[in-house]
Amino acid sequence: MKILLVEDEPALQEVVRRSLEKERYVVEVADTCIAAMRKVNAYTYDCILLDIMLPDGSGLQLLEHLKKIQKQESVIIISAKDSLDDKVTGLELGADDYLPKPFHLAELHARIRSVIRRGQRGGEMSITVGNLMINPDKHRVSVGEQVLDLGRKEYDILLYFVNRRGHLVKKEVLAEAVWGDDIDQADSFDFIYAQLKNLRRKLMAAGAEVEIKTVYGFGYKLV
Amino acid sequence: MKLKDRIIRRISAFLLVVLTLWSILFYIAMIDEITDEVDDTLELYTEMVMTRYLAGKELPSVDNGTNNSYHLTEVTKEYADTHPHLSRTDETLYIEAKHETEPARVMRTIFRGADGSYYELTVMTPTIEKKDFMEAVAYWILGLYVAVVLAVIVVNAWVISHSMRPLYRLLGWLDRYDINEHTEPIDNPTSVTEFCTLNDAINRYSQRNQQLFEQQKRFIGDASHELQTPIAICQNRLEMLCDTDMTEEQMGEVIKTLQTLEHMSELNRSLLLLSKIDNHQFLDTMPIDMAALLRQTYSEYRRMAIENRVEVTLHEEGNPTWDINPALAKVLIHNLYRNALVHNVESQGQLHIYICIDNIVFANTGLSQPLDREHIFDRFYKSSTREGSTGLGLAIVSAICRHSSLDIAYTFASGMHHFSLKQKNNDK
Repeated sequence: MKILLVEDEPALQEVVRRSLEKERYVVEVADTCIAAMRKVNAYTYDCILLDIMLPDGSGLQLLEHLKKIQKQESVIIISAKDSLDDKVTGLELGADDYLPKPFHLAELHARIRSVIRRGQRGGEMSITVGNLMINPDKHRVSVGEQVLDLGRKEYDILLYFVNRRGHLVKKEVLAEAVWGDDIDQADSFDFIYAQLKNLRRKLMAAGAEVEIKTVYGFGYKLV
Repeated sequence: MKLKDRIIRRISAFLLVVLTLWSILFYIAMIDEITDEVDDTLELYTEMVMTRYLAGKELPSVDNGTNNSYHLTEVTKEYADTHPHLSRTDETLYIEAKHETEPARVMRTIFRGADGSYYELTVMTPTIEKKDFMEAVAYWILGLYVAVVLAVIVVNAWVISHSMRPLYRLLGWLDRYDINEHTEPIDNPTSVTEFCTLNDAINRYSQRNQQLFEQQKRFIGDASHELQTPIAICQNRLEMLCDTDMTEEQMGEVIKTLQTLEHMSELNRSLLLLSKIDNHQFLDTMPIDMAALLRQTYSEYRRMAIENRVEVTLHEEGNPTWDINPALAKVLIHNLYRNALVHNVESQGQLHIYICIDNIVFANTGLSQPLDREHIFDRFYKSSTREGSTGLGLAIVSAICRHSSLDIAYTFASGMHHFSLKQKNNDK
């Protein structure tokens, strides 16, 4: 999998690149709009991470350029300009997703996975981790041959973890993602415990090779 | 008190004192002058009677048609020695001809006749009644006072409304002046030096203020924008660290740092939003069905309400539709909602939302004493240190209200904090 990272801030570029390489992506970087255009003219990428504010112009120009040369690259805009206008313009110009800075790396990986999956197989694809298989279209989870009967929230949690496998997911972040933005003020996570307990029990009973581990009480990790 | 009223009041008080003093002096001077005149007449008359008597000529008849009358009596030597030879007194006399008593000036002279015996000549003439005179003077002075005060009022009104016109234009301009809006420099042509100076000073200071204010706004916006990237880098580095093997202690420190970073980023985002609102970056408005928005927010915040143990009740009594930017409307309602849920009591909290035709009220339980009404909408005002509270929520609410011609008011009644939103009256 090849990813083009268009980002002018060297430190951010470095940390994102390292993190992507750890996920075994091939990463190329461009720090200007022109450099990025040259690269997309010459090569094909599975996903482009695009910063809007670049020294020689707006990243939106690259989107227009991609459209002009009729390339179907998946593009995720990463921008510090947390403005609705940019988001709308970006998505209208053919970006697949929009991630405002600062973002969680786990979130970035999940988005990359999701756009690559959509871009490659029209989103019809099921996700497989070990012997666990999730079919997002049909909301169906199976371990080996056995179909798991999961509640809606349990399914959401599992899907969230599978997309962020190997990363620490903080309790607050999980709660926020699964129940919406308002949850970060919640001072009790009883509801997460309850749902997680059920989910773990069901996974274990089915003999799944994956496990949701508790990381010292700060969060969870799917391994 | 208006300037006009104050001037009139002062002048009237001053005139009252001056005219009173003047009327007393006038009275004394007039009485003096009259007495003097009367005394002169009496003296002449006395002299005439005395000369005639001493010359042995015929004396004038007592009732001679003039008001002067006299009588001549012989007195003893002792009497003459014990009484002054010339005395003037004011007395009340009974005038037989008129059958009434009248004030009179009396002059007594004691003299020695040719025969060596003493005579007292009493000459008198009716004079003016002092009480009547005093009244007359008082009436006239009062009349003068009223006339002068009336004149002062009229002249003042005219002078102030004409020569103070630039001042009132200036006041009107200051009244309209809003540092958030771009206000034209004051156009106030006048030839009066003082007003010219005042115009210049005000123009200079308002422009300076405006510049500083713009700079500050831009600085806040730029600073928070520039901070986003470093925060993102810190956060991502720490996240990468989290994915490595660490002891629980290390992990704890890293995660706490991440939480602090997140709070920082939240603060930053709120500041950015504030500066965007203040910089008028949300321009397009459309009619928003507030009741629908509140219902939607209600369902979005159900989870949080349950978590914070707050019972939320929506009272729909009207269906207000307000012209407001849709994104801002959402932020506005969300912030009020969140504020009411976060700053609530530990358990059995209540939040009542009243949607009426012309206002929306959030009433919630919380601290048992009222908040500082002056500062509650200030940036970083915190009544209690709640985790997850940026201290900017209500500042954003107030900025949105300012921007969208809404009024937000805070009251504390029957143990509940009330935040009431209402459209500003534009149809004046």
